This record gives sequence, structure tokens and C-alpha cells, in this order.
Amino acid sequence: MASNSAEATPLPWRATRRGHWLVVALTWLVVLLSAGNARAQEAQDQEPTDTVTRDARFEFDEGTGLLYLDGLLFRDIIDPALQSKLTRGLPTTIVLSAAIYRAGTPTPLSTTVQSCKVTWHVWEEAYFVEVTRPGSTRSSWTTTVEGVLRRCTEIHRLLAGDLTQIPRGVELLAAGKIQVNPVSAELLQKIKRWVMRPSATGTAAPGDALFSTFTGLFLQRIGDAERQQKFTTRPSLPVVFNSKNQ
Amino acid sequence: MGVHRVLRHVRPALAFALALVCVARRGHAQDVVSAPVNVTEPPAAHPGTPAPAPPGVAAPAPPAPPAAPPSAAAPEKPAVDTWGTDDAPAAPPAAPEKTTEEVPAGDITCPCPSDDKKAPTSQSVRYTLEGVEVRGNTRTRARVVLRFVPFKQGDIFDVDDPEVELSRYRLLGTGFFRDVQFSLRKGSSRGLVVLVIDVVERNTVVLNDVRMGISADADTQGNRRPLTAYAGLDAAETNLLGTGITLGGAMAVAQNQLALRVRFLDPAFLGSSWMTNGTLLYNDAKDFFGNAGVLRTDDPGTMGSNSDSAVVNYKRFGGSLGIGRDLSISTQFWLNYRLETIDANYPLEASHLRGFRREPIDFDIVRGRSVLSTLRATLEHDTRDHPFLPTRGWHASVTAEVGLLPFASDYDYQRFEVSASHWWHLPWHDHVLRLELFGGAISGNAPFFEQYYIGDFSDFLPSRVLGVNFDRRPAPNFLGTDIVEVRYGKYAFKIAGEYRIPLFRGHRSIYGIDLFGSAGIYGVAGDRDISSPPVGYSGLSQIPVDLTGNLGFRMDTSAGGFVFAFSNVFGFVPVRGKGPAGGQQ
Repeated sequence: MASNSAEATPLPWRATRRGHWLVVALTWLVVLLSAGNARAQEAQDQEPTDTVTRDARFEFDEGTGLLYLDGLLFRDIIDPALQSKLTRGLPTTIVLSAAIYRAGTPTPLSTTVQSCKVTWHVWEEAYFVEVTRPGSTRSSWTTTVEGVLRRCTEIHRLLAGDLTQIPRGVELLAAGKIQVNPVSAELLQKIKRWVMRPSATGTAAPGDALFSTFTGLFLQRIGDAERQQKFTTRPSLPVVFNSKNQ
Repeated sequence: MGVHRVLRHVRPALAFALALVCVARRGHAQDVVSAPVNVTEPPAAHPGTPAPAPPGVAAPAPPAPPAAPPSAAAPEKPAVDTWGTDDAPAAPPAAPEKTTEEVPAGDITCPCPSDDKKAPTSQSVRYTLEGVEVRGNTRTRARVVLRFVPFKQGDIFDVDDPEVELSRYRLLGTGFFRDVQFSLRKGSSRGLVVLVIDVVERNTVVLNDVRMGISADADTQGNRRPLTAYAGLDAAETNLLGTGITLGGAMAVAQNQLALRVRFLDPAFLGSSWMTNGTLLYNDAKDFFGNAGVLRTDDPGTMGSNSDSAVVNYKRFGGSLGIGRDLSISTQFWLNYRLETIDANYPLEASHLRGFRREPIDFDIVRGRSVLSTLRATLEHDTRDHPFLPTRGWHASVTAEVGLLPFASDYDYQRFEVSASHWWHLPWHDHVLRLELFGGAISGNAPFFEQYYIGDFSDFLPSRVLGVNFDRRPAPNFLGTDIVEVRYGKYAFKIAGEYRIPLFRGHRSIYGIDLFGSAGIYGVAGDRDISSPPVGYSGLSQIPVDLTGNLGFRMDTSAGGFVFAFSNVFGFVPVRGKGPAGGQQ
């Protein structure tokens, strides 16, 4: 029940007004400070997702006129936590996609991609690894995490372009991203719609001021992939060889 | 077609986009591959892959042991192609690797199986589910977890089924868990597996709503007071005793006003797909009537006295029970019954200047004790992509409510409302445009607190919180219409647009800050505003409409969504037009 005491002893108007403005000013101060603090925190949070420079080289086959990306390693993407998930029996997909640039230019010359799907077969106690690259798909078994890492996180002779796209004698670099368990746009939309209306949970209603207290926390965690890292390589001249002479 | 020929005709940028699309499809195209395709060996030769069974076949016999299972002791056969062959395998399996020729027939830019029929695709790994095991749930009951998982004992479990990942997100979306992981372990015999669901529980007490603001009200005698503050709070336990039931409470408080709510929601009534909810409410509140020159009489035989407002003091106590159901992933239906007792007192007689004419004030509530009994049906459709900063989609609802006079109700009325909002993601700089439409009509004798209040439509006045009205002021009246004479009405509409500009996007603490500006037109009218417009207005000014607008920031944070808007402050700037008799400020 509301008290009538305030009405019996009303505060002076000037003091009341000053109090209100003080509350408003303090509120804005808290917001601005928290926003500033959050920005600083964001800067720290986003460091790991910044573009990483990785070592790689290009090889140009004069016999076929094809350019290959070679020696690109990203084992660090599969940290111990992800390694332990590999044996859960459900597929894990590791995708590398990259564009080839002439050093110093922003327009990609060609693109390439490699997808690696790892499925632990619980009864065989072995990993079934499927690697898909431009023009080929390869399946193999391995019983160790090392075998998985070697197949999925080491890029060797990945077709990246040909003479019609890549000029000779120029420095090239690759830039792209590595994703672990990428989520398709369709599934992502489906997930978000469902989470938007968690009717089976009956929590806050959309439109409530703090509706996203819990849903926002979760929604923001749904990204394009379970893990993602952008990378670039250092500019280098392709090593030329001729497969027809080998 | 050779590689050269393909590459010659594919522009690099297009190829990059296509490659990315293909990767995304690749990651999930395998979900729909129903039969393994391998150019080198038949599917059954793959070790560890139980024989595929057609959907709907219950509990097939475990498959025969594979012909050549991998073994840690056996040497792994090195790869034979041009990649991945330069380091020795650590623990090679006995089974041969299967590969296709490198760069055979074009299709260089898209390794999607569906696009390259010649390339082998992955096998669909299926098991028979022996059971589902929930681990890590110390408070949440296993049946609550299993409610969100569509797999059960005896099902054929396809590891590539997208429903697996979707179920995991469903569990995360409940808000009950900080982390959810699915895994498989061996069952009692070959081909059988147990689906293990590991959950990490989280705090499920959530803060749903916090409101604070300043308003201009009046004391119980109707005399205006300087600015007063009001506040509201809504919190809930969303997983009561681990049952998945929500129990929440809300409170709104202002000087001499108090509103309380207790509510529950069972998302699976008796384990069914029906939802139930209930609310208990208590309001000890007041409301302010009269535009200008208010005269009121509290005792019979006494002369009327002047005041700024005629105040209704009333108490509401009651509750509602509802049942609902999801009609689809984005559509929900609810049916609610409400029963309240109301105890209201207000001046014996009161009049005010409506336009130039003095008229009695109709308080639209029964003096003393009365009963309100209604039945309400709501259909809601929500396809927004985000609850607080949506960029696309619809949010629409249709509501119909009837006062149940045969069930002892003192208020016989019918209400029908339609509201819809649509968000567009604009092609420049991620800006967002929203269009909002609302229309509602009430016929009959609805109590004033069930009618449309101008503060709920104008951004320049505080809207009601838990049914409590904090402000005595009339509408701003930018258009110089008789909207300034209206406080409550039985007919209302609103058309508004909002433009949002993203200022910041993050992943922690603050997820997004948007600057927004909105503008719209609304109208609120009672029966008398239509049948007998107030004297002193003519022409279009007899149509009680006005403009509204807002400017501020929307912040989506880890603590919830916040709106910092300036319209509440603008509302105190005395620029509004008055009625011909000089409406109060």
C-alpha cells in the first residue's frame, strides 16, 4: 500500500526538482561509464578474432598452369576443448575458405576452399574424415586426433587458381577465414526465430524492457560458426615447378 | 569441361561468393544425403557404419561387424594424392582411404556434392538409439530436458540430422543452461548408441523489466503536484524447482500508488503441448479526470470546490488463468479468463470544461464494489530476427475480449485489437526501418482502465505500468485538435515509423547500441468525441488525433535491453497547444 506520509510533508519544489535532475544525471553517467567500459572490454574481447597472419607459400605448376596454396597450417584452431569434442560421435566440420590477392590490391584474383568433416564412429573407435577440395572429395579413417589434425588443419597443394586468373611473376597473398562447425544461414534463422519466442519456457515477453536479459546472452553467442578465425598470409612469389617434368 | 575453361568464365568475386555458399551448403548438404555415394566401394564396406535403415523402421537389428575396421595397431595407409602426404600418419587404420582424382572434370569453384554428381559424398551414419541420458542437471528434471529433444529410445539416429543441433540450441534457448553438449556412447550391443546430453545449469532468476521515470500527477484531492517519480520492476524464476515452470513477480510504485503481480507459466501442462498461465493482481491506484475548470463535490448538499483534477481512487484484486498452444514456430494462440473485484470511490459529482461547455465527468467505473469478468483470445505471429534490435520480420497480434456479463460481471463490453509491426533491413549501412500499425475498438461499458489511454500512444506522456497511470496531463496536441480533451477512449489507432542507425556492435557486455528516431500519428476517441465533439472545435480539429515522436538510444546489453529516450523529457516542455478553455499543464 502506498504511503501517504509524503503527501503530509511535501518536499519543497526546488529540492524535489533538484533531486530528479540528479537522478537523471546519475543515470546517464552510469550508462556512459558502462558503455565506455564495455567498449574497452569489447576491444579486449575482439582481439582473438582479429585477423591472424599465417605462413604459407604458393606453387605454380607451369605444366598445367595451376596455382596451389601450400604449407598453410592451423592446428591451433582445434584446441584441447575442441579436440575432446571430436569424440562425441557427432560430426565436426572445419572449413577453410580463402581468396588470392595480388599483393597491395584489394580485388581478389581467385578463390579456394577446403572442407573437412570429422565423425567419430563410436563402435569402431575411429574417426572418419572427409576432405572436400576443388574438384575432389577424399575419405579416410584414422584412430588418432593427430591423424585428424594432419588431414584437416594442414593445407598442402590446395588448388587456388590458374593462369587465366593469376598473372605470372607477381607477389600473392591469401586471405580468408577458418570456421569450425559453420552454421548455415537457414539453420541460424530457424534457431533465432525459435529463441525469439521461447514459448516452451514462458519467460519474458518480447517487448519487455529487459526481455533479452537471457535471450540476448544466448542470441549473441550464435554466430556464423562455433569458432572462426580470419587469416592472411604474407606476400610471396609463387615457387614455379613443372609437374610434367617430374 | 576443363579447369581452364571453367576458370576463364568465372569472375573471381563471383567465384568467392559461390565458394562460400558451397561451403555453407557443404556443411549441411550432408544432412540431407540419405544414401552414401562412393565411387570406389559400396557403402557397407565402410567400417563402423551401421546399415542404413529407412525412416520409420523401428529398432532394426544391429549391423554386422564391418569387414575391415580400423585398428590402432595397423599401419595407416599414406595418402596417394598430391596433398597431406608429407608427414607420416601417427596411427594408421587398416581400412584404405578413398579418394577421387584431383582436378578431373572442372567444377573447381564449387566442391558441393550436389553440384558435382561425380564426386563421392559422405555416408549417412545412423545408429539405433538405445536411450537418452541427461547429465549435469542438478536442479532441472530430466523430463524437462527431454521435452526439447525429439529423439527417443528405438529411433534411428542420424548423426547428420539437423534436428540434433537445433535441439541443442533449443535447450540453450530455454535460459536454463549455460552450456549444452550432445554426444554418443556405445550401447549394449553393436549398432546401438546412447545419446548423452551434458548440461551446465545457470542462474534462472531473470530481470524482465525495469522502468523509471518522472510524471506530473495530483494528490488525492485533485490538486496538482510537482514532478514525482515512478518505478517498476519485473523479475522471474524461469525454472521453478527444476520443473521448467516460470514464477514471476512485478511491482510498480509511485506516490500513493502501488501495483503488484504474481504470475506463473507452465510450458507443458501435464506433459502436453498445451501451455497454461496464471496471474494474480493487486492494484491500489488512482486516476485523474477532468480537462479544465474541474468542480467536484464530495458530500451531498455541499458546494462544489475547484481542483485541478477529479481523482478516482480504486483497488483491483483478482487474477487470470489461460491456456495456450504453439500453432507453429512463429505463431501462438492463447485463451485467458480473468476475474477481478474492483472497489472504486470518486467525487459524488464532478464536472469540467470540455471545450467551452461544462459537462459532467464520466468516470467509467462502478462506484463501490464491482466485478469484472472477461474472456480474451490472442493470436500472435512473430518472425523477428532479434527480440530487442530486430532488423527484419513481423510481429503481429489479433486480440478479442468480451466481458462475461452472465458470469456476474458488472462490465459488459467487447474489445477487438489488431497490431502489426514490420522491420526492414535497409541496403545502406545496416540501417533499419520499422512500420507500426495499431487499431482497436471497444463497445459497451468497459471500465476506464480497460480503455485506450493517450499516454499509451503518445511518447510524450508516461505509459501505464501494470495498469497504473502516473500522469494527470493531457496529450501535447501539436495539431491543435480536440485530442487535448481526451484522456480515455474506446477507439484508437496509431501509425508510426522508426528509423534505427546502428552505432556499435559487440559480443560481450554491450551487444549493440542503436540511435533511433520515430514519428507517427495516433488518435484516441470516446463515444462522445464522435457523437458530440466538444464545443469550440470545428472542421478537422474535431478529429482527436495528434503527432508523436521519440528520439534516443536502444541498447542491447548482457544485462538486458535498455531504451534511453528523450520524449519523456520533451513532454515537460510547455509547447503543447491547449484546448479552447485552457487545458491543464
